[in-house]
Amino acid sequence: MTQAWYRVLSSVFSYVSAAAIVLIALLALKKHASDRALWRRVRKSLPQAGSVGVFSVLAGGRRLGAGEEIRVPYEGTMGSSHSCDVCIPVRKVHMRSAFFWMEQDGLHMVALHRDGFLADDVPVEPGDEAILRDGAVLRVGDAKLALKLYGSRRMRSLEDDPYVTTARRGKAQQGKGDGIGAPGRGEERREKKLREKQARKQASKRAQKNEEKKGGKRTRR
Amino acid sequence: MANPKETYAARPKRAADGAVNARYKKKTAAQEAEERLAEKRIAPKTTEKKTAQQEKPAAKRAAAAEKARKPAAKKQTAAEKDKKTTKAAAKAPARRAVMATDKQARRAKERKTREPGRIRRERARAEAAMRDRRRAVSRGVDMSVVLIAVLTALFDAGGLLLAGVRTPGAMDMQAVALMGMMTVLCLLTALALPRIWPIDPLIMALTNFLCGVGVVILYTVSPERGMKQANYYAIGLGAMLVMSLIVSKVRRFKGLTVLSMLLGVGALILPLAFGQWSGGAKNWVSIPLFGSFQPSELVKLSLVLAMAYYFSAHRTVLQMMPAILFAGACLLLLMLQRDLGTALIYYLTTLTMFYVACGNMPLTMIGLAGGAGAAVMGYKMFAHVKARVAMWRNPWSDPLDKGYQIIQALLAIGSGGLFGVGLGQGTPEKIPAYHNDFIFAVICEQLGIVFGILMLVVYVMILLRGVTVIARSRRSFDMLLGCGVLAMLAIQTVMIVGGVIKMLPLTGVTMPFVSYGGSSLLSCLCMIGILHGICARAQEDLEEDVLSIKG
Repeated sequence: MTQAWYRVLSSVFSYVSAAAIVLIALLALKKHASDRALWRRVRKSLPQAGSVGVFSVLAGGRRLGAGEEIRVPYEGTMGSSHSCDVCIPVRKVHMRSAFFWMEQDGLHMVALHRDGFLADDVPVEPGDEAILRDGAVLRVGDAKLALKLYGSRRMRSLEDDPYVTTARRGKAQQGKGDGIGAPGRGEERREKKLREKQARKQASKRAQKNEEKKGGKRTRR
Repeated sequence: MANPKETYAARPKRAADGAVNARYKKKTAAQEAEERLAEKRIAPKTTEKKTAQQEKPAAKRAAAAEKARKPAAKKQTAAEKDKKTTKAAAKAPARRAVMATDKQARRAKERKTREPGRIRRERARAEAAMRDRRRAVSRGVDMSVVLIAVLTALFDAGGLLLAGVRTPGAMDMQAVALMGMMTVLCLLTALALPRIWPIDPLIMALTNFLCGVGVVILYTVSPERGMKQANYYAIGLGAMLVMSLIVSKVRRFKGLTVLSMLLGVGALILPLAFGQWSGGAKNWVSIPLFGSFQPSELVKLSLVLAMAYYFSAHRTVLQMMPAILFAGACLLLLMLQRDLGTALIYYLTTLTMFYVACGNMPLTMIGLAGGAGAAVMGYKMFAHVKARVAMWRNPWSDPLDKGYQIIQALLAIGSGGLFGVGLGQGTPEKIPAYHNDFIFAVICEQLGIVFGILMLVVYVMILLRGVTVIARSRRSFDMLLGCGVLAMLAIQTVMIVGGVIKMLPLTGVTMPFVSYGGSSLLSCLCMIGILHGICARAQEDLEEDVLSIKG
């Protein structure tokens, strides 16, 4: 091919490629917009999508009345803070009470605060891992919640496993689930410090009482 | 009496009369009662049965009318001999029977068609929702994506064919082979792959287009580099698929994250130990039999993975510490390598992911201020940074040495004009780093500024689509992973395009998917693989939801 012909063809190609990229951009925009609309409609028609179940409130407070339902996502945190995935604005509920994630055998929940929570009247302490199945009743602070898992996530057979497995505590602390970390050493340290602080307080109280007793005895003498 | 045909035709007119209307009203009231009953049941099947049952007597009556017609016809033939009055008398019962059957049939038809409005609307809505769900879950490829893939294949084929016939008197068979390879790869990945594996077809098609532009431009400027880039593209597609499988199938990322962090730090130490200085930085390592590569490009994946894992935990600063320390170590090693452009990408991505994870604005602002302080320190400490900033401010102060590159790039963009000088035309070789850092200037020169701007639109489309994909995911880890990938791609694109058009100081990073370089293309396609993996996972979740609702 001669140089002149090549020049002509290459300039034609540059025009055609400009037209092609305009078309590509427009088609991409159209596809993107139609897909977004489709997903919005699908999400609207599937209100349960994205959550594994709901916590229906059996007893709450002023801001969370009985009968209300809170959606439970696949994983997240539970507490009274608005940043929590399951927000329970009820008295005596800590800002971040627990974190949870869904697995095959049920909803796994690890307490983060020293107050812990009750899962089917079994106390769950910080670091303990509770496995909640469909119909489990949870007590956090003044709130009482019943877990309802959706269709396929309901357990096929209720095994006789205990709800709280202390043996798995170590595993829970190492972190489980997708990207879910553990309470972490920071939390552990904080808990340890709190326990030490409480122990020190109790010791000092005892010492004061002993001194008072001794002092009383002396005065009596 | 009127002719039966006439009565048939005149019926709609008569319907407007008061008497007929009253009859109609009575009928509609009866129908309404039935409708109410049907509404109470809310069972469309039963209403259908009802109408079917109602149709049966209507049919019987029609048959009776037919029978009645025959004797009437016989009578008519007999009455030919008699008077006209006897004819009319003979026709009357047949006509009445026909009218009665018509009315009944019409009533039955109306009942059938005039289903209660609410039920009809609900049914239509349910059908539309089912159709939508089926469409959302299906792995079929949309017509728009097919067109994009075909246009991309045509662009690749046309460009490479043009490059093949460039030499007078001979056909470049290498270009023809490359044309076949690129076309097949493009069509396979954009049209066939989404049917097998639930990747996002639009992201794939747009990525193919950008990679195709890179290969075509590189082949016209330097055929050897073009061939190499096509090979890297093929390898990168494999890596992308592997990455997508990992993200969608692996459920526990802890081991992988720790391993990738250790490997990442090790890889960044390699250039410091065995690398050689080039372009003011020591960021390349050459390994015998394997060739040279840039570890900082591959460590980008480790950084994003580590931050997504640790930032998705509980979003307290203490729990984010491992990732922050890893990012700090990477930044330190990059500073030692003097690869400040990549360090800037790492830093901004870390900050973006931190803000997305915890939403802590004060800490993010402190981080940003710290980064600005580090930039000032870097400016004062490193001579080459000073020179780059000076050239950014006024490249014409040293047009033959330090400012030569940027001046040539600007001249190339200007000489290209709106639609370019043509593929393979112009003088791109005058820009020293035309194949990697300044490829955008070459594209603008050959295909025009319109093409260049629309290429940026394609990048934006990839980012937008990526945002949609990560918004669909239901796990914080997936969201953060996708967010990190998108932030990295966006920051890199802005930095290099801004550098080439003299909007920002030149940082020496590659243009994603387009620039020449195996490490860069591999890491970019792996990032796209991460997005595909997130998309596949979201699709699986949706399928599960649809199934559970059906159940």
